[in-house]
Amino acid sequence: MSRLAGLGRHIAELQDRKLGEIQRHSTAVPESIGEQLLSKSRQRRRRRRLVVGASLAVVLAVGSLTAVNRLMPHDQATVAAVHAEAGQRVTASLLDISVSFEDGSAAVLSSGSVLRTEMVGPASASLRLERGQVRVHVIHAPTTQYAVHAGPYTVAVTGTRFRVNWGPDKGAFAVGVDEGSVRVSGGLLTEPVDILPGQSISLEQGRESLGHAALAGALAGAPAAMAPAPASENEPLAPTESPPASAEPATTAHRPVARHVAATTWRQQAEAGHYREAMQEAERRGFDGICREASGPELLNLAEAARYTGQTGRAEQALKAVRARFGHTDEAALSAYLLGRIAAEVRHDYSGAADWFRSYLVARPDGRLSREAEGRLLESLAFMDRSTARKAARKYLEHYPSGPHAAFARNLLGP
Amino acid sequence: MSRLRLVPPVDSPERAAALSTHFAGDDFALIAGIRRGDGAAARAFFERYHGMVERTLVRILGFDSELADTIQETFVRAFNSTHLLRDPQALASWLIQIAVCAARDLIRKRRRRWWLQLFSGRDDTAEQQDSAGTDTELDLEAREALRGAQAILDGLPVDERLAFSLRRFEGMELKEVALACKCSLATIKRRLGRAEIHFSAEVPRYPALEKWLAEKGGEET
Repeated sequence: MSRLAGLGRHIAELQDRKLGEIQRHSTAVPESIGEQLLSKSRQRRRRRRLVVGASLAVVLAVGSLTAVNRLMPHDQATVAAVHAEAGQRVTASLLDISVSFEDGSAAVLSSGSVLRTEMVGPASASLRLERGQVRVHVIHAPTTQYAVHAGPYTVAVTGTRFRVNWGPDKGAFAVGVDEGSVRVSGGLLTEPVDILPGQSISLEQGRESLGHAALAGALAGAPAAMAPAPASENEPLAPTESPPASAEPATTAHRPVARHVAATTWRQQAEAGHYREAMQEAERRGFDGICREASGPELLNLAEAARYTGQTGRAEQALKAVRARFGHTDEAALSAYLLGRIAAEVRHDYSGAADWFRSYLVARPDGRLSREAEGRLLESLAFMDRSTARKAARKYLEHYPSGPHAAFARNLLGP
Repeated sequence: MSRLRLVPPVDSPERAAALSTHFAGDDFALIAGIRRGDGAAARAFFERYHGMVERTLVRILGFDSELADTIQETFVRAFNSTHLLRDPQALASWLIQIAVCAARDLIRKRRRRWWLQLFSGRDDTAEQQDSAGTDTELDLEAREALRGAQAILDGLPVDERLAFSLRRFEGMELKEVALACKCSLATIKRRLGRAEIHFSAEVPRYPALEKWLAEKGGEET
């Protein structure tokens, strides 16, 4: 293994070179970094004490307060900055992170938020807020074109200062404009709406709270009423993870948030990574019944929870239910692929795995996972029959000459 | 991620003045200061050990999109557990343990999400690879090799990945790796053995890495 040591050392040298470059472009550590980290540390200690000592009701209250707090605008300094490049996924868990662009524009991601840079150009960018809040300042120029996507909504910008909140759990969306104007479209809006300085809009599945009369006509569904816009940047937009206080029954358009409340609960638990609780609740409700009633995406979540609690049989049951009940959907095709991975990686049943990967390829010959499925089919066949594997290797190389399994396929074919 | 840097805050002059007193003292005084909630001590601690934490995390995670966050997470965890540090002379190894733990949690969190990611079209692994792929400071072969190494590491069980990264990339002694991973020497040897077999078997899938292994691996005596 001494060759690996030499290789490892070389990789470390390259990493050090890159770290050196990063440090050369760094400015001084902010004076307040110690205070900020200590403050986060104290917050976490307090939260831990509360969780340990409080009843379930108190814990839930703290959770919702935390969620609201996370979505409030912060005026604290940013600690880290990232120069925007296409394809980045920036996560700010503890402290704010600033994303800067070539034209001087900047997006400050609040702690607890995730932003993806889908496209970055000289005076343009397409950003996707996966959750939380982003404060954006776009420098105006004739060719400026920025867009912030949040779930089904799009905020189009040419030069302005504004904030976007997005809470994917409840489909809660909010925009507040401080300077310039933005155009919002998608989601609950049937037509684009311009938001001007001092105005805001907040929309949530099941209820809408509007800061502009003109928006009412643009809403799909029930009529909506006015709601005051936040007075300043530091005032929170309508809290996106809890119903706005101003939401009167008349302003609420009842929409199908979820068909099964209990199913949503275990699904949310699964999405939050609480797999054991998700599985316990699913078992309490009746796992077999859920497999008969839940939707395809819900069953995929359930399968994930089962897998991560070590219940491979349950994972397979959920995936097979998707196959049986939603035969020609994307979910069914994905289930075949996942069943193939379980068969290969957990069961070491390479024949079964090959069958599942073939099923995926038959259902989705040009699907998103086709290349991966064909590669994994190749791996499974290599464990069984070399001549069949060689045929599959030739086919793989025809389809994906530079794919991730290309070297493996060439090795199988030999010199 | 490739141009992550620290930026100055926009604080009030009063606050800046209050914080501008620099902390002077050894590790023992530093820890005592942090326990008292002294911001200057916390800052000095961050300045003194930021580089070491960053390097350790880069060895394990590569130039990951969540590297900055994981560094911060490491320091917050450290500040929360200074009461567990019995010997301030062991501060560096204690901090590395925390960084390793934070990296392990990040990797596990990601793996828990992998099915959802497949369904939604997201793939965190691809992000890590992209971060190597967009680096203009490295040539194509280096990028390909780094991407290959990262892909192989991503395929390892997390504990084997930690053992391999710390031993082979960071060059730690086996005892140090065992201490950082909080397990026995025998366990680390087993994990490292399995990881090396897996890594060696996977290298031929990545021609640039295979070439490196032949060239650079030969430099080892």
